[in-house]
Amino acid sequence: MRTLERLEALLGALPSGLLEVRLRSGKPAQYRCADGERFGEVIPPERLRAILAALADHSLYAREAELKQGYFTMDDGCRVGVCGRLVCDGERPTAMADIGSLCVRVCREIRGACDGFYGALFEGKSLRSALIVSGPGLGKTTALRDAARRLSEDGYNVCIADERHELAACAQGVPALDVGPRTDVMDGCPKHIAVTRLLRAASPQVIVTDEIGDRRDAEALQEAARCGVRILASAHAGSLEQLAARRNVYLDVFDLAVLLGDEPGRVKEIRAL
Amino acid sequence: MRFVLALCVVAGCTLSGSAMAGAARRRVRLLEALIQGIGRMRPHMIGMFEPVGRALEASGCPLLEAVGAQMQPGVGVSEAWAVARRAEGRRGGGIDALTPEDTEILNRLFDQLGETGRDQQELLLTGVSAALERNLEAARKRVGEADRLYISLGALTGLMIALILI
Repeated sequence: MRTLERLEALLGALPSGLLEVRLRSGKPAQYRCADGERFGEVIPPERLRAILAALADHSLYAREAELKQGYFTMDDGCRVGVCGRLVCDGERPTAMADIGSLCVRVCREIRGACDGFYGALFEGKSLRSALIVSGPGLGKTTALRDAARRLSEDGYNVCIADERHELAACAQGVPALDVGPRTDVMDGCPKHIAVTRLLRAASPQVIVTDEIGDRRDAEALQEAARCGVRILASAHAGSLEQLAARRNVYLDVFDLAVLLGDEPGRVKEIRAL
Repeated sequence: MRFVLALCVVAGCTLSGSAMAGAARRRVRLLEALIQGIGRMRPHMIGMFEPVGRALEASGCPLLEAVGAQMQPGVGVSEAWAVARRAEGRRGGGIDALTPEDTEILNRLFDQLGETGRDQQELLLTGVSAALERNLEAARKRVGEADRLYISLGALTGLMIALILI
C-alpha cells in the first residue's frame, strides 16, 4: 500500500497536491501542499505512536537502524523523519525513544524534472559528471532520479547507490519508481560500500547517488571517477560558495555543478568546476 | 441380538472416550505447529528484517498466518491476534484445544511482536518458544494419560450399559 493511502487510512481524507505532512504530539497535523499550507486535527501522543507503528508496518525492529539516524523510507520512496529523544551511548545513537514528531515527505516522480540541465551533462557526445546542489525540499532527488532514468533510456549502464531507498524505492529488489531500463540498484547500505561494490559487480558507466557529504562517500566516488565512471550526485548547499566550503564533498570528481533554487526543480545556475 | 447390541455399545463408548482424548492430541499438534512457525519467522524478522506481517505469513503455521492476514496499516499485531482469536477460539476452531496458559503465552507474544528493537524481538521469540516447549512437554505427557483415562472410562461405561442391557 502506498504511503499516501496509508496516511489516508490513518488520518482521514488528505488535501490534494500534498508535498509534506508534519505530525507533532499534541499539535494539529500540518499539511504542506503545492498551493499552500493547511492544518488538520490535533494528534494526541498515543495516536502519533500508533501512526509511527503503522507507517513502520508494525515492525520497529526492521526500522531500528534507520530510526537511529532519525528517518526511515517507505516502500514507495516517501521519507518519514522522526524526532524525539535520541538515546546515545557516548557518540553513538542506540535508540530513538519518546517520539515527539513525524515529518512525511511525499516522494514525487516527475518526468522531465531534469530537463533544465540534462543537455549540460554532455560535452559533444561525451557525458560529464555533475553535482546537483540545493537546499532541502527543492527537488534534488527528483531531478537526480529523472536524470538517471533518461541516461538509462539513452543507452548508458546506470548504477544507483541508494542508501535511503529514495531514488529507486526498491521493494524486494524491484524499483517502485522508474529509473530506466539499464539501471541497477544497490540499496539500504552506506553509499561508499554500495559504490565500491557496484564498481566490481555491475560495470557501470554512470553512478548515481544522493546527498553526499561523508568523507568515505567522497573517497569512494573519487575512486569510481578514477576508474572512468561518470558520477551524478546531489549535495545540500544553499550556494556554490557554500558547497566549496564543504570539506567532504570532493569537487574535483565533478565537471559541473547544477544549482537548484527559488522554487522546487528550477535550475538557478550551471557552473563548470 | 442383545449380545451384538452390547458389543456395539462398548465399541461406541470406547470411541467416544478416544474422541475426548483427541483434544489433548490436537493441543500437542497445535503447540508443535506454533513452535515450528515461530522458528520459521525468526530468520525473516531477525535476519532479513521483513515486516512482521510478512514473517507471520511465511511461518507455515495456520494460526500465525491467520494473524498475519488480519494485519493492515491501522490494525497492529495485537488487534489482528484479537480478531483471529475470536474467529479461531470457537468450538471446533483452530485454537479451541489450547489451554488458558497457552493463550496467555500467545497474548504476550502478540502484545510485543514488532513493537521493539531487534535484540528485544529475538529475546521475545526465544522466551515464547521456550514457554511453548514447556507446555508442549506437559501436553505430550497428558496425551498418554488422557488416552488411557478416557478410553478406559469409555470402555467401562460401555460395559456397564451392556451388562444392564443383557
